[in-house]
Amino acid sequence: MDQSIADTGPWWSRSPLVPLAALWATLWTLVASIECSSYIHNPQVPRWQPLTLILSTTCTIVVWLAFELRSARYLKFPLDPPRPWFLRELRRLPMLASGYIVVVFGLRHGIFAIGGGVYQHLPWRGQIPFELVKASLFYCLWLGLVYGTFSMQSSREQSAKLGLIQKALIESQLARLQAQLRPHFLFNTLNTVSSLMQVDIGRADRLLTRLADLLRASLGAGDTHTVSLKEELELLRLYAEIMQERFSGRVHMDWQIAEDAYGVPLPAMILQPLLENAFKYGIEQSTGVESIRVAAEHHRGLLQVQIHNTGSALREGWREGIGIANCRERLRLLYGDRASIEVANHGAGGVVASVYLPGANE
Amino acid sequence: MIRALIVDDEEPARAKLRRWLGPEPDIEIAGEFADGLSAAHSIMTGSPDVIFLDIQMPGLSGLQVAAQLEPGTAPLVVFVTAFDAHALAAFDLNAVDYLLKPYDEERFRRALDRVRERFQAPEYRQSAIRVAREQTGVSDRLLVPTGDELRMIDSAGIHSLEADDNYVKVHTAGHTYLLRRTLRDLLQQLGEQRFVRIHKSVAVNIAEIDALTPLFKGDYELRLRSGKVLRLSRRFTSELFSRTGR
Repeated sequence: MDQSIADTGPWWSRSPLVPLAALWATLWTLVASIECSSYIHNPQVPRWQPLTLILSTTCTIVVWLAFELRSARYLKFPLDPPRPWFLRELRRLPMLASGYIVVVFGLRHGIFAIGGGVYQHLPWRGQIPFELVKASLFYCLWLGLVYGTFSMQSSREQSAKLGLIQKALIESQLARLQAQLRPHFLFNTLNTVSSLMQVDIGRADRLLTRLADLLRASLGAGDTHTVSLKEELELLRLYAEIMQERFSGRVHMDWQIAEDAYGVPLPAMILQPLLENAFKYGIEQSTGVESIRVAAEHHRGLLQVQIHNTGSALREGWREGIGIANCRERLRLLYGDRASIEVANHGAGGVVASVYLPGANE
Repeated sequence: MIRALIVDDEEPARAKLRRWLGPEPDIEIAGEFADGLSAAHSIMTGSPDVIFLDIQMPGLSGLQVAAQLEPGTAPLVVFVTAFDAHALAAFDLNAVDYLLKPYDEERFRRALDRVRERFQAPEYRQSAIRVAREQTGVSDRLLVPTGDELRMIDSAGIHSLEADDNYVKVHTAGHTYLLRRTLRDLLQQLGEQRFVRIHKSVAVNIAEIDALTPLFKGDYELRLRSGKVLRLSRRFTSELFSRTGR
C-alpha cells in the first residue's frame, strides 16, 4: 500500500479491503441466516435462539475482520510469487478455525444457558470437523479475494509508474531533440560545414557525417530506454567533436573513463544535456581557451560520471534549466533515491555536474 | 575602398566571410574579431565602413555592440546570425541588413551589393542601431574607452554627463570618460528615466542630486552628492521638478 495514501483519513478508510470485508461479513450473515431460517419460522422455538445463532457467527466474523483490517499483514510479504504468500497466510488457518469454533460455540452455549435454553447441535465429533471445513473454506475464499484486490491495486500502481517513466523519457527526448535541433546549434554547424568545404572537403565531409550520426542517434534513442555508458559516451564524443570544430582552439576535451565503467547500463540521453550545458555556459560564453573533462568511475556498485567545465561559475540563486530537471526526474523514477545529479561550482574553478547511479552489480 | 570588419566567435564562420570578402577589389578587410568587446573597441577607434557582426558571441552580443554605437558615426551593420527569431523580425521591419547562416555565395553577393548601395546612406546605419537598442532594451551599462581598452560601466554609477564639442564627458565617482557621442544620443541610449537635463549641455543622474538653491531669474544652483555644484537653467526647471516630484 502506498504510504502517502495510508497516512490520510481514519484507519478504516485506508485499506482497499474495507468494501471487501463488508461484503464478506454480509455473506456470512446471509449464510448463517439461511442455516437458521427453519428455526425462525418454527413457532415452537423462541425467536432469540436462531438470532443468537446468526449474530454469534456474524459478530465474531466482523470483529475478526476489524482486527484484520487494522494490520497491514497482507502486504508485509511480496504478492509475487503467489505461492509463498498463500502458504504463509494458510499457516494461520488451524489457529483461526479452532478459535472461531471456540468463540462461536462458547457464545452460543453461554447465551442459551443465560436464556434458559439448551443449545442443541450435532455431537462434537461430527460438529467440529463440519465447522472446521466450513471455516477453512471461507478463510481460503477470503484469502483469494484479498490477493486479487491487492494484485489489482499493485498492477495499477505499477502501470501508473511505468507511464510516468515513459512520459519523462518522451519529454527528455523532446527536450533533447529541441536542444539538438536547437536552431543555433544546427545552423551554426551547417555554416561550419559550408565554410570547411571550401578549403577541406574531407573535414567538411567528416563534420557533416558527425552531425548526421548525432541526429540519427537522437532520433533512434527513443527505441531504447537503457544504453551502456560506452554508447552514451559515443554520442557525447560526436557532439564534442562538432563543437570542437566550431570553436576550434577554444576548447580542450579530456576524457577519463575507467575501463570497467564502459559496460555499466544507464538511461539513454542522461549525460548529453550536461555536456551541452558545459559547452553553452563554459565555452560559448568565454573568450578564452577553456577545457571540459568527462570522467567516469565505477566502484562498489556505484557509477559516477562527472562533467567539469572551466570558463563559467554558478551565480548565487541560479536555477537549473529544464534539461537537468528532466534528467533528475528520470533518475528519480527509475532509481528512487539511489541515483542523483548534482551541479555545483568546482573547487578549482568552473562548474562540475556529477551523476551517481547504481552500477552493474545492482 | 570600403573598410570591413569581420566579427564572429567561430573561426570557420570568419574564414567563410574572409574568403568571399577578400578578393573583392573595393573591399578591404580592416580586422577580424572573435568577441563583442574587442570588436566595439575597434569600431570606436578604427571607424570602419561596414561590419559583418555575428549576434551570438561571448561577453557582448552583436546586438549589444551595435546598441552602444552612435547612429551618426556608426558603420553600416550587417548582422550575421544562425537564428534569432525576434531580431530577424525586427530587421525585416526596418530594412536592416542581415545574413542567415548558412548562406551561399549568391546570398552573400546580394548582401554585399546592398552594402555598396547603402554605405553612403546614413538612414540605414541609424535603423540598425535603433533596432539593436530596441532588441537589447535600455542599457544599464555603458561602454567607455579607458586608455587603450574599453570598459563597461554601470549607468547607475554615472554622476553627470557634460557635452563638450563633439564629445561627451561622462563623470563617475573616480573618473571622467570622454566619449565621441552627442549628449542627446547618449541620453536616448541610456534611457531617459535615470538622467535629467539641467542645461543645454549637461545632464545629471537624478539619484545623485543632493540640494537645490534658488538663484536670480529662476535659475538654481544644483549640488550633487559628490559635492560638485552645477547650474540648473531656468528652461529645464519644470522638467526636473516634475521628474523629482517637487
